[in-house]
Amino acid sequence: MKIVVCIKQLLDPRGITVNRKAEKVFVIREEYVLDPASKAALEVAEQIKANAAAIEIIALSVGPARVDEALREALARGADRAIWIRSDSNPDPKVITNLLAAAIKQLGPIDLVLCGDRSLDTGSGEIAARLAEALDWPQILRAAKAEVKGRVLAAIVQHSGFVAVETPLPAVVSIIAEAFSGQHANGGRLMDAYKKWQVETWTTEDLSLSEDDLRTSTIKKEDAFPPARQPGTKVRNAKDLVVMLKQEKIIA
Amino acid sequence: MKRLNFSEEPRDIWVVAETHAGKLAPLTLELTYGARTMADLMGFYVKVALSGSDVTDLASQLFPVGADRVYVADDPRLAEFAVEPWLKVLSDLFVSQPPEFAMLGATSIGDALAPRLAQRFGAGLISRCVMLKVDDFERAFVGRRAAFGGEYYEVLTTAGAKSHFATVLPDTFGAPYPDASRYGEIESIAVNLDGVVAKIKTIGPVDYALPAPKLKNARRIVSVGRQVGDIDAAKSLATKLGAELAGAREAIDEKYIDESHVVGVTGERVSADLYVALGIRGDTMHTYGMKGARYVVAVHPDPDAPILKQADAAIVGDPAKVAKELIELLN
Amino acid sequence: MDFEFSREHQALRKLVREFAEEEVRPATRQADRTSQPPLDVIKKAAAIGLLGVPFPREYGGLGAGETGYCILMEELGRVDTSVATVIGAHIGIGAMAIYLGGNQHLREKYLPDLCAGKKIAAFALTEAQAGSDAASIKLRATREGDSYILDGSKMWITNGPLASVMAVLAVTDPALGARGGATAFVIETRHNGSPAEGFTPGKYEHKMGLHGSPTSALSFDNFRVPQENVLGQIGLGFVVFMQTLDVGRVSLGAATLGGAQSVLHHALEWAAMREQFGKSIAQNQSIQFMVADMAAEIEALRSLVYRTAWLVDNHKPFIKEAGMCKLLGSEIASRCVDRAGQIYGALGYSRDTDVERSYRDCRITEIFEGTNEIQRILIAEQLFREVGVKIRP
Ligand SMILES: Cc1cc2nc3c(=O)[nH]c(=O)nc-3n(C[C@H](O)[C@H](O)[C@H](O)COP(=O)(O)OP(=O)(O)OC[C@H]3O[C@@H](n4cnc5c(N)ncnc54)[C@H](O)[C@@H]3O)c2cc1C
Repeated sequence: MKIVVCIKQLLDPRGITVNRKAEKVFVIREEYVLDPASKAALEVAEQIKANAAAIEIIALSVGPARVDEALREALARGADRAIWIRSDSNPDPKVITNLLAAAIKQLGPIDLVLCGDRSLDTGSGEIAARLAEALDWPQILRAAKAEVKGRVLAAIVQHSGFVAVETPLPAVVSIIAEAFSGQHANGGRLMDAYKKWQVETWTTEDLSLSEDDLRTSTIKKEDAFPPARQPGTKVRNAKDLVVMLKQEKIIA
Repeated sequence: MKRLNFSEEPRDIWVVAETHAGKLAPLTLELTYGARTMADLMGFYVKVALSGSDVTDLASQLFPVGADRVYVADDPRLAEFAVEPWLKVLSDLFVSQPPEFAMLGATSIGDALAPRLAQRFGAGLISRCVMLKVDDFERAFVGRRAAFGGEYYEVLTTAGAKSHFATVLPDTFGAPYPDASRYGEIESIAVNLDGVVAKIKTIGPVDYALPAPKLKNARRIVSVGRQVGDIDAAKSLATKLGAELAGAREAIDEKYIDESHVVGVTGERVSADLYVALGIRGDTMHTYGMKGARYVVAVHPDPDAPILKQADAAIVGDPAKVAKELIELLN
Repeated sequence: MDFEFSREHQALRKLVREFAEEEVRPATRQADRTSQPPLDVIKKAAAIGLLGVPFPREYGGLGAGETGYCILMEELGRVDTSVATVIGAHIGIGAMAIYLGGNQHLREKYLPDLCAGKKIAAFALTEAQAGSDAASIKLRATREGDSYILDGSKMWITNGPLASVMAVLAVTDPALGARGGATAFVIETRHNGSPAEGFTPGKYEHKMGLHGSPTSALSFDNFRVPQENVLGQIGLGFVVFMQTLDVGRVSLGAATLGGAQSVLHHALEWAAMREQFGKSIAQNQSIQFMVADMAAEIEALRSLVYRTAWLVDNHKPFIKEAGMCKLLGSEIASRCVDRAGQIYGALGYSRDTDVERSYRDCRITEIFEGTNEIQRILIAEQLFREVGVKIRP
């Protein structure tokens, strides 16, 4: 059985500060990390592997050369194979999906695709459902855990609780970041990931894709900033506070 | 990828409706109203796709908030939401009536359908918008989406795409002002679910506990000090918000928290999105640990408490009372 | 010249930093208060391979060399000197003596379990009357058939109460003394958790700091060691022990580097926030001078430590530089922690702050693994040797 885990690397949020007044995002420390939701997805893959025989985990990541580091971390977190899908332009979720789907098809029969549900940075949370469309597979979104028993069994977040769902294989499942246990990468595997194992490189030429497939349909224009917060802003009561928190999108 | 065939300029903004317990979702009304505002600027029509079982009677409620035409797919097989049947119905509808613009709620239904529709039709998609408008020059959606948990926004555009989709969070357009005199048309559409099966089977609720986040990584924190008044109110607020309970150093003396939950120079440094300080005075020893929090709410009875000058939202008052009112309002 | 760490070393640093912040930091205060080593943290470190950093993969290590090991020590030292010391005594000198002195058989027998954290190691040199003058040790090892019998005691041994494997130096030929008459052994002091026959660990030493790192005396009474457990050659154990300490000093320098770096960080953050006389204390030049001095010293130490690690990994002479790492590292850390405490004011005297704990923890680094006076002697000895003068017999 083969499991593909699609992983995302992002700018470490601890390295940036947002200055609303200056309307600027300052990158204090440009460091890239594996998105927690991707770590959660890798962890689920590892758990599935631990409970079954002969499972190959393949990590895929679309991006510039720096995603190599994320892929090596994926190897250290239990992936058996890591493939960098090279993309130097700024792909949108549609193009990322097309690249991933083409790679998944090329990898031969894949039973399960795991993704992070929504990334910490500017995550659209679209990839899993888009992949399900591109592959014409069922999708389970916002899962906290997933098991394979001939089919996929998952616990998904619904309202404030969890609901058990199941679907036949092959399927796409997205895993929420909150499910990540905090487990660290394995040091020995990490060293092997750099010294012994390879990250394969696939380019768009290796994948059968049309020009249309590679054309973005949603692009970022700019950053926008909410009004700078005024420290010491007096609020009269709980009711006004709720309004403010909603305005700040802190509560829904 | 399916190609949408725009035989003539569609000039429509679509809304995909959701119903809950036999009622239109408030978000659907808000989106329809938002679509109306945009359509008026552009000289467009507002069309709503309403799917479900026994939903035809609800259609007319969409006219006062702005719908011109409601397409109703009323079929017992659509009683419960399931990806495949709903997708089939919407896809068929959109093939026959190619949408230039379409909005869905940023809900579990919208999150499940919008990416699939966008992928299917090669449409542009802006997910989880907190602001959305039509750029009349580009004839595209321009939307804002929270970046890094909402500290700022990314502005995205679907310019260049043929159709433009968005999922939208509540309160983006604000409460609708219904116009009772507005009217529109209802068209019932044929539901063809031949060969379509819902592939996800729901088994039922399960108990599952997410790993507890470490205090320094917690996204929400309710933090207490000596003046909290009623610790149980603070604890209930934490539960309500899904927050971790923490405190200033003196909260240990009151046995409100243990040593591992101190925020400050003698404890943890946190990075929560929301930090609610209840009855904490706010000397530097405490605020040192709180500095990384994105949004600080402080409630303290003493108007001179230093924390009130630093908080993004400061309430002079009884922390326990405010906590209880908050729980009430959040229910 | 290339001052960039290799990619695997950068990845290792990220892993260790994350581990130290997420796992070690939450356990430090409890360990300091209760004087109990955070064994679950050590187990977690073992589970992800961090106890094998310097050793080759064939012995269950990570093969990250001295540079990798210094990275581990720096990142642990940044968060908790106690844990760094437990792990340092376990790997950096305990297991290291087996690696440097042991034959293939002994390496294969002991290193995998030590790397996996199944067993904890210690390094036992010091005795009550033999501190700086390590050559005057008295622990006796007498030959009996194909075994040696140990009689006597050791003192101040890190991990003494925990370890089940120890590198120990004993006198096999009193007539020859340490040079020629001392032999290094690897011994098993615990079986299934209880002390082996003839071995009694002393009580936990109550210390000024390093509370999370247990120290005790050891006593041996008719304790049997098979002859095959000799590390290196009979009579040449002093060499094995001194070589081990030479390497250990580089990583001790790295641990002090981490400690110094961390108190500087605390001092900067606090100085920026603390207001007195209507402005942040950081606006006073006297505070600025303190942090500038700290940073300059730390930067110099960083260069020294990693260059020395590079010397070790590239099999170049490093003894003089290793002594300098230990000497400068411990003194820079002490100066930094003193200044940070000053910047913290009363808070720096409170048991609830990291700076106060660092103050107590860091003092020992000027003393153990060869006092700083001894380091100066060793450095001077090397310096004179370079101009062809022998200053010690
Ligand atoms: C927490 C802790 C952990 C330890 N862990 C270990 C361990 O794991 N294994 C181990 O073997 N030992 C260990 N030790 C022992 C440590 O290495 C010794 O304490 C150290 O070598 C100094 O020996 P001493 O205490 O006997 O001091 P002494 O040798 O008595 O020295 C006292 C003072 O005299 C100075 N002095 C001595 N000789 C000279 C000289 N020739 N010239 C100038 N000055 C001199 C010293 O520098 C020092 O200032 C540990 C000690 C402590 C406190």
